[in-house]
Amino acid sequence: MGRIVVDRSVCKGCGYCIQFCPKHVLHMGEQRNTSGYGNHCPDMLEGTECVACATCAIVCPDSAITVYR
Amino acid sequence: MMEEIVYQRSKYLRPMLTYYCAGCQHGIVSKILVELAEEMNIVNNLAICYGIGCYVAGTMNLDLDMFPALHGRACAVATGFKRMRPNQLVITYQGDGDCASIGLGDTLQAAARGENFTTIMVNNQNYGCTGGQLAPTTPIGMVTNTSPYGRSVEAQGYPIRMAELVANLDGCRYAARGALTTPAQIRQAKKYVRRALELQQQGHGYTFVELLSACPSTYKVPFDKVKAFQEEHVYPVFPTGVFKEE
Amino acid sequence: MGGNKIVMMGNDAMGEAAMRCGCKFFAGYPISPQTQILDYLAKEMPKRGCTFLQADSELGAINMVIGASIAGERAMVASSSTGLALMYEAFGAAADGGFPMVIVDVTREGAAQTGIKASQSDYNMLTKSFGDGGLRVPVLCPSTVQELAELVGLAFDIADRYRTPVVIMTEPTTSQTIEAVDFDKVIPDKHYDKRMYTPSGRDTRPEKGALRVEDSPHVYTSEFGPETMQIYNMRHFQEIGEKCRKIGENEMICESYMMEDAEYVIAAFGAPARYGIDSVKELRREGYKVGMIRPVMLYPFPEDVFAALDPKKIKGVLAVEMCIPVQFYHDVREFTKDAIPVESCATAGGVIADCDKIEEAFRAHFGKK
Repeated sequence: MGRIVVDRSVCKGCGYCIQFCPKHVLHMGEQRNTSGYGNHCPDMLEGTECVACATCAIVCPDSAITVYR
Repeated sequence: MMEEIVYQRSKYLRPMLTYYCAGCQHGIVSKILVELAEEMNIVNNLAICYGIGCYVAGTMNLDLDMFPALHGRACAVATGFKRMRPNQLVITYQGDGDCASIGLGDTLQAAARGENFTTIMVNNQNYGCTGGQLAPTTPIGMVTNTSPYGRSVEAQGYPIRMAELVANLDGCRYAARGALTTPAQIRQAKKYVRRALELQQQGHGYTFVELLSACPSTYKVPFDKVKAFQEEHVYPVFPTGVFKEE
Repeated sequence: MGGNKIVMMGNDAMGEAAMRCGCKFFAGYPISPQTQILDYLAKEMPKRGCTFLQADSELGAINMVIGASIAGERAMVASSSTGLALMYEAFGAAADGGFPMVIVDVTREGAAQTGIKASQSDYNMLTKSFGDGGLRVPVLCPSTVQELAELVGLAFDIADRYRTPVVIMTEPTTSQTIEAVDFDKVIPDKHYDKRMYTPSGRDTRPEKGALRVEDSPHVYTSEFGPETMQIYNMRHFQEIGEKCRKIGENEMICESYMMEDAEYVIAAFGAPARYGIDSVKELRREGYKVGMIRPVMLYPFPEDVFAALDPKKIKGVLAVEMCIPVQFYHDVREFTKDAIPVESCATAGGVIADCDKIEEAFRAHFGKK
């Protein structure tokens, strides 16, 4: 069972993490970037299981994601 | 049960909003660099010479030692630096406009001399920093601000494949091209850069890694179509792989 | 009698002087009339553990020297006028970054196509705006081979102390002359702190360390907002201006010859100044009370020396230079503040401003009617 935390101060909402997540755990969430960028940031979908593979963190160009297991 | 961290931002990457556009993969190159610096334990012995392009402002978040070069001149500046500090690992961080257009002479000359440093050319197929103009690496048919009807062979000629070009030179010991979109590509790209740095450590000579970066701002496609765009337009022109290793 | 004097061509002497004062890196590209520097250093530098590199172009050469300078070593580049024009791109960056280095310009005439005749036509290019950005760096101009060698040492010294590129401008008339040189008079490397600028300030070279980002020009950090960055940049340029002022104040070299009772002044620099001394003697024999002012440092200009000329005493100044249209003349006029008539003796096309030309011009402008 894993979990991710998105650093909303640096995330620009490109959604590569959502696109490449093998378990389709992520979706574009309601919360926005906190540095004034204005985009929505990804969030975990309820009822899905993250396997902490860190794929989302690897493809993130802004290194915004921390992965926990 | 205690929660453990599987993956987190390297401490050599400052937590700041980078100057790159959303979806730009320069940030992945930054990540590869800091991770390799940490993993290879070379943070205190690495100097990055950066040219002019999107990455000038973008690399501000790298907490590594860097020094600037003028547009296209990174290989010349790195030559002087490396000759004076042969034991320090030196990387030139350049874009395709910097490395393959205005600095083509400097790059090829450094390769031919077999200068013992590593060039990382981030190929996003256009001049992103100035708003998306035709680059020497723009594939045929691709639309940019200065090829508004698509690059045509009659008007602008053919794109340059740098990794193959550099591999032809005797002074070049390693030439590879990676991509940065899928997780597998990113892992492979990191291996290429690692190999180049290892060869530099062994004093083998010039090493060159070209990394295909997506520029969604110039592709003018939504982020989820970036991969499809690259598969259609970019990868057929720029095959990935190792072109030379000796 | 001559002590440790060695008979040498000026170009070779510059190379020898550079090595003696600790120049570890030289990059250049063949161009007449400076190529002897390359020939000499290519042979000598490897013997002394230094790096000589024939670059792919002048532009490549100056950038390699920037790299060596960033690495904290003494480095020199040499070329001739056309080559300097090719390097111009990097000059602004070198002055802006404050990279210590010595740039030798063995001048030749005019634009690229006009040949390799002796000239001083780089005066404005070197003293008025060193590259894009309008920054300025010290420019030194010798008259003899001995002085050429000594100025190489001084140029490195000033470059290290003030963290700036320094230019030596010399005509082939001087640099291809063969004379006895005493290299003991060349200032040795005093090993000033030449730390590398790094954004992190991390100690990449344990013995010397590195400067913090706030000391470094044009390296931005996340803490900087746009406004802070503007103020920071403005301060940076103010500091460069201040640096030039201090060099002018503390390092000025300007020679005066027989000026005590002079009523007329010959203002000349470089090779023509060598003839100027003989012209002063000749004109004095003819009854004119002539003295000479010879700026060795062309930028910062010896303003005070010219401003101090007394209009009640001095009847005229003859500005001698080997370039048409005139360049040096305008500086002399500016700093004598139009209080004294300034006339020009200018030659071009490879004609040397020698005794005949100087005396002829003097008699034409100031001679007894």
